Amino acid sequence: MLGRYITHTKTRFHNRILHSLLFCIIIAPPSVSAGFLDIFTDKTLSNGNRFAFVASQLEPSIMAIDTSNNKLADVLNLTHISGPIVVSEKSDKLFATDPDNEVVTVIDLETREVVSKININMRPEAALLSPIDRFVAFGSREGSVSVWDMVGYTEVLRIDGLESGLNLSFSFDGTKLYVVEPNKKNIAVIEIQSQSKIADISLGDPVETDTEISPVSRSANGYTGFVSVISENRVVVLDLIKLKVKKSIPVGRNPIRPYSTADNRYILIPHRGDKTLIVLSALSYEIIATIPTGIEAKELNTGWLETVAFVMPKHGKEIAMVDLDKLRFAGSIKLGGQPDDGLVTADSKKLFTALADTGEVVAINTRTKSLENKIMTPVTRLQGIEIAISNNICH
Amino acid sequence: MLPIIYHNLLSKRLIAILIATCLTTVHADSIVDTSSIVLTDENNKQVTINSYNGYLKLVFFGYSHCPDVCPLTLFYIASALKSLENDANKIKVLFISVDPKRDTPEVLSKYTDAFHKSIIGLSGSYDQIMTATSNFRTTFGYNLNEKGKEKTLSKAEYEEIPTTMNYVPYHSSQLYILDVEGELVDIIGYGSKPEFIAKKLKQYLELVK
Repeated sequence: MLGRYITHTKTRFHNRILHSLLFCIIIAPPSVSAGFLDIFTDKTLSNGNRFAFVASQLEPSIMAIDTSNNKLADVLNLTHISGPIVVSEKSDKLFATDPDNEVVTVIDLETREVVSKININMRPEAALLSPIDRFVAFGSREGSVSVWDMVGYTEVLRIDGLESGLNLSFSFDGTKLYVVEPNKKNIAVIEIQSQSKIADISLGDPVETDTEISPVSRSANGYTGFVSVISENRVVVLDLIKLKVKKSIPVGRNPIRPYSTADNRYILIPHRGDKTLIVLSALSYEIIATIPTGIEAKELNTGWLETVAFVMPKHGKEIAMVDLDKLRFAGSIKLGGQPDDGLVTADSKKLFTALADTGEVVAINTRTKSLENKIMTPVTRLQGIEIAISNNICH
Repeated sequence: MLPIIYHNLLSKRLIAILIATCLTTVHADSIVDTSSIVLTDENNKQVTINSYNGYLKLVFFGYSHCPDVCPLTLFYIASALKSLENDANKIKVLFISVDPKRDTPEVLSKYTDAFHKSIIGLSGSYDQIMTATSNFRTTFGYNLNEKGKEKTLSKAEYEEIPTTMNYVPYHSSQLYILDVEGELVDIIGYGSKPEFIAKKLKQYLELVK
């Protein structure tokens, strides 16, 4: 009897593992499946945590950067100058927006060829991949948001009439989209499944013009949100379950998008006006440090096991670093060009950023806090940088 | 001929010294206090990460009910270990479960053995797991996914909740390489293929030869 029980348990156990693996193989992108079968070749750009992509601002091309060796892997040619791009590991595709023609070009990263052009009937001026890596949200300045299922290239949601559709964030499970409406001082919460707006989270009384609000950032568990009301020098903590404001915290001058560290220790708030980094406790939301960085902050990235924060400048050619263990300024890195947004690789070891005005992409070693490489590209102006896998928290 | 061989040997030694110097530098900025991480192994014995010193170690946080990230990563690790053949005996993969309620030593033993014999399941109390994740500068927790009751569970709520409830742990997806002395020497990002994992492990095994 006991033997039968053990055999049954073991079989059930192995079945569970088998099902899990089968599930992985089925849901895994072709690159992963290819990895299993050893037919993966160096020609492909489909390795989700290895290749990063940067679009040219002036030419119809996208640079593919091999983050493993800091080299330009390829230049993908388009028929249009690309707007924001999105890279999907699951579908093994790169989606390059063409705002002027209201089109999204789909490039297969396995073959490096354009496989489709999707007419999305709005200007895709913002693009965001959902955390479940299936849906892509596009937004326009005029206030339209469109969510597409990139498996069958079908539109699953269209909302018009928002104040703006530029400022988008997904919930951690990809079921909701948070759209910031700055002058309304509102966050519209859109549910993908019901294809409707299910809530408005008010951040204050509406004004006529000039309110600047950051996109929503999520805590490590995904259930708390943080947003900077840039023009009012405050950070708002959101309950993303009840879809309500929890707390409004006065901070320094012109705080930009808050950043929740992956170890759930801190909420980091870089400032454009004060040129400081304010560190909040992720538990109490109390300010525990105000660190001068000398940088008019535009964005923040962390690296090497969340021990260092890199503050990217809005203007200027230097990145400031903050030691997150000692909570103090840790120097700066001169880049020789104006960095655009940065990305940190999935192993947290390298920060990549395109120099918008020189056409180079720089690789920064997050462990040694030093410039590792400058990667030349054949173009002169670059914008943004995207990689399929950079997240290191599994929900 | 002899001078060329001698020269080659010298170059190899020089390279070895350079690599060793790099490793020393790695030790100097060590940030994980492995001696403070006390966990329970598959035999219900209290261990620390340092109990596995003498082996190259690969540490991964997860849980056995994980539907995608954990089995895929463990499958990749197992494939990497298989490709290393006998060298795999010099490696211990420490799979630290963040879900001790469901992942008893017995469950973990069966789960990890199904992938590879060098994979060892470890777990512990909420506080012990917290010490482990904090040391690796990451986090873990549990989100209750029951319709209308969605919330993040506190330590007390997790300890009281029945295992039949629909709660989902969250955890880091990186792999941490610790050398034979328990020092963190490298990190491998989620999604890395078996060939890449094997290459990294081989690289660190070479250093201890």
